[in-house]
This record gives sequence, structure tokens and C-alpha cells, in this order.
Amino acid sequence: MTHQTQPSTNGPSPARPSGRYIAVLLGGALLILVVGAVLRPGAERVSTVATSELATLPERSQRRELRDIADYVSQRAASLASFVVYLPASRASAVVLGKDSVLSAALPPRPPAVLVSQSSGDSSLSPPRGTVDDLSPHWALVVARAPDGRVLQLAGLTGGVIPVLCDELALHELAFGAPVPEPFAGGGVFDLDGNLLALAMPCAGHVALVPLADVATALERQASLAFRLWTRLGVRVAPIDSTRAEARVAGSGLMVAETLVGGPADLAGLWPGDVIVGTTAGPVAIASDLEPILSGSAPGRLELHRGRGGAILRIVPDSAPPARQGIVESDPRDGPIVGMVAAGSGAGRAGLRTGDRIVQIGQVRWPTTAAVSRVLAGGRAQFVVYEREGRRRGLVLP
Amino acid sequence: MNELASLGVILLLALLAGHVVKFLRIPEVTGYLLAGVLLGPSGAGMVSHEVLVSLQVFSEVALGLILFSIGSVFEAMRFRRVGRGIVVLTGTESLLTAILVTAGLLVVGQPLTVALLLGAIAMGTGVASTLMVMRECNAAGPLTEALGGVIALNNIFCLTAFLTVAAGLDLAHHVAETGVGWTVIYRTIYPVVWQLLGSAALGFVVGVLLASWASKVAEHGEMLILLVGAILLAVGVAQVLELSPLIATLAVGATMVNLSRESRRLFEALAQTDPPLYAIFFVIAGADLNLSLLPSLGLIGLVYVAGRIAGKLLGTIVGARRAGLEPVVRRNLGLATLSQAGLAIGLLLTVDRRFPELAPVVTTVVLAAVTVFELVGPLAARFALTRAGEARPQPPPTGLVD
Repeated sequence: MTHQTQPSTNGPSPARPSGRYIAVLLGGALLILVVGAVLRPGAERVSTVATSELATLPERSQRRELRDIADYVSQRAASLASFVVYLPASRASAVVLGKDSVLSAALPPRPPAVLVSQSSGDSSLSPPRGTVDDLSPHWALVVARAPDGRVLQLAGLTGGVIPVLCDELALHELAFGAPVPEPFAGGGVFDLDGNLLALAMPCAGHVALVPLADVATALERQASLAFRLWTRLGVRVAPIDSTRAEARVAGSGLMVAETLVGGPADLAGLWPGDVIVGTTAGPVAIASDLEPILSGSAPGRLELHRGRGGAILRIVPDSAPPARQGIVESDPRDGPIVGMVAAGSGAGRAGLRTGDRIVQIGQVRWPTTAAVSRVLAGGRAQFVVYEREGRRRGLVLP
Repeated sequence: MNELASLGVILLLALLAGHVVKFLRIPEVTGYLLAGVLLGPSGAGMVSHEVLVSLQVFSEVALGLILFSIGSVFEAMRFRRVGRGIVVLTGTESLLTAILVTAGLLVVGQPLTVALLLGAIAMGTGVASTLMVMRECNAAGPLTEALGGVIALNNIFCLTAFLTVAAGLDLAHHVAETGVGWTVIYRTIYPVVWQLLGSAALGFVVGVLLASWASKVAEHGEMLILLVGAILLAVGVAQVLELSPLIATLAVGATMVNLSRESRRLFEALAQTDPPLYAIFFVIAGADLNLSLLPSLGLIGLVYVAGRIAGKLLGTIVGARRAGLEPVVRRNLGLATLSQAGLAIGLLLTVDRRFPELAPVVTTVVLAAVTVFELVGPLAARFALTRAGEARPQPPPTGLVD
């Protein structure tokens, strides 16, 4: 240490303050800290508006003063915030779709996934839906909530959609003028008229603004076999390569292309290069032969060829397949009506009730009774719009 | 490369850089910073931005320890002796730097808000790199004494000026928008008072804790644990309460040196153990320097750099004369105070949060200027200390001398 930073005295100093003096000072310091912490004003400005984007707004708006425009955007965000809640369980924002249901496009740790959860949202109204197929630039607001309930807002120009690959899912995202920070995950994207356009969804290392239609697509794709194999067993399979020695030994089977570190397949000891040749339900030739393990109808035993030998591994899928969720009845005038919802089922937890009229499943409007029946039979997560007491609401059946 | 491997490479490269700079006759801190530039995203990219962020905790500990050391300049007896002069000197050089930078920016057409914020940010001197050069030179003498006081005080002045400017801008904004009211005044004044008073109070409380505990600790190792624990506590609580870790850790050092008979042992324990931490700190700081920003410096950046250099040189000459300090201080102090880093970057975060509309200009200018000043500052400081005849290259065995 240098001269200037050391105490100049060595040993006891005659000028040390007395204990009483120190105690008074200490009391004063503690008082300052306590009073200061108590009197802290709440955060007032939590806006993270991209100002570079705001700067171009005057060209597209009637308002000329940047401050007026910023205020206008902030006011819009504040009014739209009633449609957005924070879900502590999934540590993400969600959009209120009705009194009892919210929709979030962020469910860690394995995004993208869509979640419906019960929530006591402030608003019993769901925001009107808008479309995003227009390529001309429009202003949009991404509104989310921070864990402490503060409103986060981000304004930017959007124009059309661009394809994006979110892990396994080929989706579209809104072209947006500013990068969307991570805390916005699960938030809603609104136009300045207050229409809900998209949800902010974690996607391949960034937050993508995925249009509502694609949120439904994401759900359908999540129900695909390859996706379920990856998410529930943590394994990607491929047809065996006939040039490989293992394949000649195996005859037929499925090659393990990749395993998710820490996933069920990895934990069971499955390695890339292993060839799955059978389950207790029979030989394996194509991916759907693994369906019995996924559905739980067969125990998770896999027969393998590994190198020149064989092995039998036990694998436990991540979670049980959804049980039958309800029964549908058909009303000759109004289409399919929910007849009964199984207590504790995903549909029940999602808020579907007896008497709700299903008006849309995924992207299909006015579905047939059979289609609703298939959805309620479970196994495929679906975005559902239903009508109750003359009002339309949406939810996702897990 | 993951965090641990990066940390290993950082330490080894810092060691290597320490050897190389001896041949090149440049300060160790510059060597560390250059090693960091080589490793980091601006250079070979061996240490990614994500790893740098996760290693940030080391920087915070190191900066806390550095400021704790600096806090000892506020020892009451010494401060009574030289304090008035140092306050006059620092006040003059800080004010002149702020005025020259602000005026320069106004001349080149920048709005008053940007000019004032940059003027306030320009006041601070990089504590860590300056102290490191003083330490490496084993410097002693009137210039060294003045420099220690100046770098401690001008960072406090810088923070105070910045908070005051920010409060003024906030107030003007509110008045134009909603009219002035008690709530507005409260919200404006609170951060200034809280950051200054609250940080000092926190530092004092932790300092008292440290001082009373230090008298019961005998072993060198335990002393170090106590010190690092206290510094981490001060920095962590300051972050939670949105106080200034800088003032809080300075206050811990100042309290310790005035209250404890064990302060000397504590500073010795620190001096014997901290080199690896400082090496990590500077290599990380170097890796964080973004050389690609330099071309974006532009006219505003050049005015900022020139204004700050002129302010520091002129301000120290005028200030030292007013304070009646020796000619050797007058001639050399300006060059020794050119470094700029930690506090300036910390203040940018505040600009980003409170004045997002001004952040792009302010951030670009300051980050680019920090790159210049961090590379040039230590060289200038060593030149100044050597010219003043206060550099004594052989370090004493313990690193601490009377």
C-alpha cells in the first residue's frame, strides 16, 4: 500500500473519539438509513420505451412534440396494463383472457410453451384481438409486468411477420423495431388501439413477438410426436443409417440422434448412437412405435443395440399424459357445448365449465363435435375459444 | 470458455503482462488493461461478454477494497492538516473540468442537458488505476499525498454534481409537464440526499462494526475474512438500498481509520493479499473496453476528451496555487488525475434509467472516452509521479511503509 492510503499513526492514537460520541453517531446513521429506506418514493418511471423509435413517431402521428407522444404511449401502456399480470410460478408475465384465465407464452425452464393458469386478474374483460398481416409499419406496444408488479412498456414499429425457429417450432414473429428485453417474456403486444396482436415468447435466445395465431400453432406443434419425444423423454431419434455396423446388427430400429442433458433419456443412460430396437410393446421401427411409452400404456423399458452388444434401459417420461378432460355435447343450433368437465383435469383447471360453447380450436373456427371431443380426450394441448354468457373467452387446454 | 477457465486465463495472462510491462517500461495497470483488451470481445474474444458479466462480482469486491484503502485519507488528524488545501484544490479542478467540458459541448451545439450531464461525469478520476500506479511506483511525497486526497474527493464531488444536475433536469421536466408540487420536489431532492447521506451512514455503520470486531481478531487470515466480509456487506446493502457503493466503501475506510487501533494491521493484511484480485479487476476492466467505439467518438467525444484534459491540467494548476501547495504538485497533479473508469460507467446506468432520451449520446461519448482515458491515464500518472521524483521503484517487503 502506498503512503497516502495508510493511517499515519502506528498504534493507539490519542485522538480516538469516545465511545459515547461513537454511539450517538451510530444511532444517527442507523436513523438515517431507516428513515431514508422508509421514505423512498416508489418507482415512477419504469418505462423502457425505445426512444430512438419514439423519435420517428412524429412523422406518423398527429402529435408533434416528442414529449406529448411519449406521454401518449405511456398512457396507452398504463391502460393496457390491466390486461397483463405477473405469474410468480412461471416467473413471466401473462395476458388476461378472461376473469379466470390468463395466457402466457413463457414457461421456463423449457420454452417455448404456452400456459394457462388461474389468476385473479384485475380485469374481467379480455382485450380485443387484432391482426398483423399488414406489411405497412404500425406502432405497437409490448406491455409486461415486473415481479413487483410494475408495468414495463416498450414501443416500436412493427410491419408484417418473419419466420423464426423457436427450438423445435417453426413459427413467425412480428418484425419489431427494437430488441425486446427478457423481462418482457409472456407480455402482450398491443396496437395503439388496444388490440392484442401477439405474445412475447422466449425463442432461441431472444424474446420473439409471436402472433396469436402462431401461439395456437405452437401448441399444436408441441403436441407432435418429435416434440413430445424431446420434451418428455429428452431424446431425438432418426432412422438408422444402413451403412453403420450397429444398424446391420440391429436389423431395424431407431437411432438416438441426440439426448437432452439431464433429461429422462440421458438419466436412463441412453447415448447418441444407440439404436432402439424394441419396447415391451413390440419392436421399434418408426417413431410412433415409442408412443406407448409416452402415453404410459407400456412401461418405460427400451431394448437397445449399443456397439456390438445390447442393453435394456428403464426410462421414465417427464410427466404423465393428460387424462380425459371432459365430455362434449352437441347443440343442434349452436354447435358443440361442453357437457361435463372432469374435476381436477386440465380443462377444469383452465376454467372450462359445463355449458361453455366451443367456437374455435386452434385456427379452426366452428369446429365439429368430434373435433371438440378429441380435444377434450386429452393428449394434445390446444388453444380454445369458447362462449359463455354471451361473451367470448380464450384458454389453452393443457 | 467457461467462467473458471476464463478466470484462470485472466490470472495467468495478468502475470505474463506484469512481466512484459517491466521490459516495456509502462505501468502494470496498463499491461493488465491491454491484456484484458487482448482477451476480451474487442480482441481475441476468448472471454465472452457473458463471462465478463458473471465475473463482475470480483470487480465489485476489488473496487470496494480499493475504495476502502482510499478512505483512509480521511484520517482526522491528517485531514485537519492537509484537508482544507485538498478540498480547495479538488473543488477547483473539478469545477473547472465540468465548466470546460460543458462549455465545449454547448459550443459544438449539444443541448444543455447533455452538456451538463457530461460535464458532471467528467469530474471524476479513476480511483483504481490511479491508486495502482501510485502503489507500483511506491510513491511518496507531496504530489502523492495530494493525489490520494484528490481522487477520493473528486469522485464524491462528481457524484454530488451528477445527482444535482440529474435532480435539476428532472425538476425542469416535471415543472414543464405537470407544474411544481411537493411530490415532484420530494422525488427530485430525495435521490441526492439519500445517495450522499445514506451511503455515508451505511459506510459508518459497517465501519463501526468492522472497527469493533477487528480489535478481537488476531490472525492475519481472519482479519482478511473480516475485511472482505465487511466490504461485501457494504457494497451489497448499498446496491439493495440504491445507495452509492463508492461513498459507502470510502466511508467504511474513513470510519475504520478513525475509530480502530487495528486499522494499520487491516491495511497491511489487505496489501499483502490483494494483488491477484486487482489483477483480475484490471484485466476484466480491459476486456470490457470496447475499442470499436473509438471511431464513434466523433466531434462531441473529442470535445469531451479535450475539455476534460484541459480542465484537469488547468484546474490543478489554479487549484494548487489557491491552496498554496508546492510547485511540484502544481506542475504534475493534472497529468496524474486523467484516468477515468468505474464511477463514470456506473453513472451511465443512471443516465440510461432516468434520461433514456439522452442515454445514446452520453453513453457513446463516455464509454469511448473511458477507453482513451484508461489507456492513457495510468501512463500519464506514472510520468507525473516520476517527473515529480516521487516514484521509488523498489517496493518495501510488506507493501506498506511509513
